[in-house]
Amino acid sequence: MFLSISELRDLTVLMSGRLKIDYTGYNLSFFGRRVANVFKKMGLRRVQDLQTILNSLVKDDEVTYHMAVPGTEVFRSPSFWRQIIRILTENDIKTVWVPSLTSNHELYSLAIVRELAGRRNETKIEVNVVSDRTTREVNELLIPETEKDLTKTNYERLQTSTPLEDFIRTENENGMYLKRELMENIEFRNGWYMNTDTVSYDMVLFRNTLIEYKKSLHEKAAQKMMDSLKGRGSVLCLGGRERPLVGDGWFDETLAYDGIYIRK
Amino acid sequence: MSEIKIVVIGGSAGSFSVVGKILSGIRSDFPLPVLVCMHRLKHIRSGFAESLDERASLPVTEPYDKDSIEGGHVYLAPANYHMYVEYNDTISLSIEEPSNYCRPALDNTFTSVAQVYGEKCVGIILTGANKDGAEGLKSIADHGGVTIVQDPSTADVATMPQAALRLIKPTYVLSPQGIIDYLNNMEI
Repeated sequence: MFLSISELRDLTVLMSGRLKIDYTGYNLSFFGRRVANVFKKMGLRRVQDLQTILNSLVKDDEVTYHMAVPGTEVFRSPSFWRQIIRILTENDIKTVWVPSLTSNHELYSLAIVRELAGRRNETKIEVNVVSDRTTREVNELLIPETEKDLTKTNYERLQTSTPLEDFIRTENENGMYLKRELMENIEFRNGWYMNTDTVSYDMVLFRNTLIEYKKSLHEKAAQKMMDSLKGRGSVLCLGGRERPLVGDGWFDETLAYDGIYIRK
Repeated sequence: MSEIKIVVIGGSAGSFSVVGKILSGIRSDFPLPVLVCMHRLKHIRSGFAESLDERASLPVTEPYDKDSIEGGHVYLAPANYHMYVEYNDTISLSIEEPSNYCRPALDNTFTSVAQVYGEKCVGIILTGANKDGAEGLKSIADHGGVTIVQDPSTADVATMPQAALRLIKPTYVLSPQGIIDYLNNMEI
C-alpha cells in the first residue's frame, strides 16, 4: 500500500477528529508506516475502507490499537531498570504516571521493579491507555512464549538476587503468567494523555513516545510531562536516544544516558 | 549526474572492520553526511560508535531523535532503534517492530533515505549474514540513486551482498578499497 503525502495529511485530520488523538502532530513518515500497519493487520485495501471504519466508529478501537507501536520487550534497556529499582528504593516515590501505555511491556517491567523495591503498597501507578484491547491484554498478565527467553535474559541483566520465578504464577505453552497481585495499586484510565487534566506525580514513565512526534507536538507533550512532575527530585523517564526539547536547565542530567531526568 | 546529498552504508555486525576501513579511508574534508546502519547487540550501547570514531576521518556519533543531519558527519544507528531521515534533514528514531529480525534494520534506513533524497543518494551494502538491506537498496535504485554492493568475493560473509545482487543490478560492485576510491572521487 502506498499513500500520497496529501492522502496521509487528510487521514491525520480525519483520525485526529475521530480518535481524539492529535495525529496531525505525528511525524508524517512515522504516521504513514503506522497506517500501513493498520491496513495490513485489519486487511484493508483502500483508503476508503479506513475512512468508512472511522466514519462509522465501528472497529475504531482496532485502528487505535494498530496505530500504536507496541512496546518492544519487558525490561527494555536493563540498565535503565536497574536505575529505577535504585530510585524507588532510595526515594519516597508515591505516584508514578505512565501516560502512554501501548502494550504490557513497560507496565510489567515497572510492576516487577516496584516489587523488587518493596514498594507495591507505597507507590501507586496510574496508566493512560487509548485502546480497550491494550487494557484487556495487559490484564491477562501474560508474557507470550515468543518473548519468554528475552524477558529472562533481560531480567538477568537487572543483577538482582530475586529470581524471576518469584513473580510467575504459572507457565504453559502460551508463555508465563505473572502473579495477579503485581497489578495491585495500579489504576487504568482511558484516553489520550494530552486530553487529561494535569496532575502532579513523583515519576513519569514516558519512554520512546516523543520520537513519534514532530517538533511542535514533541514540545507540547514534553511540557505536559514537565508540568506533571511534583517538584525537586521528581523523575522524568524518556527513551535512551530521545531528550526533551524544552526545559533547558530544569533537569539534573547525570542519568540522561539511561533516559532519566531528575528535576532540579 | 544528480547532486548527491547523502551516503548510507549498511552491513551486519561482522562488517565492523570494513566499515572502519571505509570511514578511515574517506578524506577528512568529505562534505556529505554518512549514515551507517549495522546490525549490533542491543545491550551493548557504548563502545561501538567510539571505536569507529577513533578510526574514522570524520566524527562518528549515535544521534538522538530529531538531531540535524550535517555534512562531514557520520551517524551510526543506535542499538535497538530503527533510524530514519525526515524531509527537514533531521534524524528520526523508532522502536517499531524489527525487520528481518533486526532493529536497527538496514531496509528501514535505506528505504527512508530513498524516499527523502530520491536520486540524490548513494547506498552501499557490505558484508553480512542476512538478506536485510537488499530491499532498501532496491528502493534507492528505484528512486534513481547510486547503488554499490561490496564484491562478494571480498566479503567475509557474502549473504548480504548476494541478496542485493539477486534483487538489482547495482551501479557498481566494488571492493572495500574501490568503495573508498569511489567516495573520495565523487563529483559533489
